[in-house]
Amino acid sequence: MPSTRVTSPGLMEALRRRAAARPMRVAFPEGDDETMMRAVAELQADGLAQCVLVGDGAELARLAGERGLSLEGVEIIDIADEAENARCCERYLAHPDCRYKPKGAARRMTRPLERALILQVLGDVDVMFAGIANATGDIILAAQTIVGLAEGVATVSSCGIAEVPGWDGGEGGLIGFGDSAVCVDPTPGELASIACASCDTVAALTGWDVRCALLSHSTDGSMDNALVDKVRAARDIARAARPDLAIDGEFQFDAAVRADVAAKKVGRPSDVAGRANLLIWPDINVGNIAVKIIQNLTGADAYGPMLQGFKRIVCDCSRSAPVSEIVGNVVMSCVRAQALADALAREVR
Amino acid sequence: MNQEIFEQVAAFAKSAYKFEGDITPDTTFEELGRGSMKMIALTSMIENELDAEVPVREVMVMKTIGELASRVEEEME
Repeated sequence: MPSTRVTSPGLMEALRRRAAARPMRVAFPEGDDETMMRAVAELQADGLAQCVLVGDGAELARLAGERGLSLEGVEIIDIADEAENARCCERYLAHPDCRYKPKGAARRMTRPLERALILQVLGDVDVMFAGIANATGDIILAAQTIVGLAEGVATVSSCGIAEVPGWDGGEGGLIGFGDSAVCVDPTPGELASIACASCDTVAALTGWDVRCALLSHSTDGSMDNALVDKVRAARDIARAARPDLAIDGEFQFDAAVRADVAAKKVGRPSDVAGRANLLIWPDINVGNIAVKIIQNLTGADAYGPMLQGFKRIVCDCSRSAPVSEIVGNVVMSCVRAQALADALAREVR
Repeated sequence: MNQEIFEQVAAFAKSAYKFEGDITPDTTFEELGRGSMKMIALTSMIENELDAEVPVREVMVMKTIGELASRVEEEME
């Protein structure tokens, strides 16, 4: 789909256009927070998303008035509306993914984060967005509990995309990476899961043919130790699970992204070596350090981290995120949700 | 520790973790195996069957099934 492929510069602009072309429904359980409410007002006014605030309806209206914000077009799911709570609870109890009995389901109707995730399970919204008031760990646990993991996924993880000025590697100066934020020390199975999920996330977001390199301090057996074994095992697991994806390794960073280095170090045909557009770090130490080096030494913008591995799109932001960052994260989530909706529609057909 | 509650929690843990061996109050979550989805399944069973809600994040910092059973007992009082 060449018309939807995203390249640098202007990643975010391209994504905003795609989000606006088919606005997705996004549930916000932290709309009482002022920054979040301002982001919601902007997203709705700019036509980037169909926003749904989940909370105490009267309080949200009062806060909007006090802050001088228009919530025109924004849907409010009022957790104080007992009749609506009962209707929603009944629908949830009838859903095959509901793991609770009536009492447990009912108590979750009045908790904004869990209610927002339940709306997602019911198909009433496409994205759940939180993080300004809830800790990442709590969002992940709530989403694992209510939304659940996608088929074949071993762990929740995250990925991101860096836009590196003046670099022509990756995909026209853009490069995906995972996981820098969630999975601390993945097992080979978990690392394979991170690679597969990151391929899907980056493809959904950019339309690229993803070429995924599992990174290491070794290229094709140049070193022999347990750290290398882990990455090689992950490669084999990922390939067996998803033969449709281009995943290769283990590669050093330069062998992954530079064709001249790959030509010297990788003595076999590879769709990925020397032209990777997605990098998978072996653990969170490498991931966190690498992203900060890329940002600080190149002036790159790094978008994400985007949570991945759930059955639906669940997004978390930093507790200190400004409005612009929230808007950007929601836009990315909406583009991913469009791709997921298309994939689900294809499955139904 | 209430023996009846412990036995119920142990039975739920066996089912959630698909654990074949015997579970005592000293059995650790490490012995049962990794996996937050299994812990989520366990807490859901406890909530559904005993009407005691113990948040998963609390269970994640517990070491043994005995600790969990005591916490469930506290929640049921």
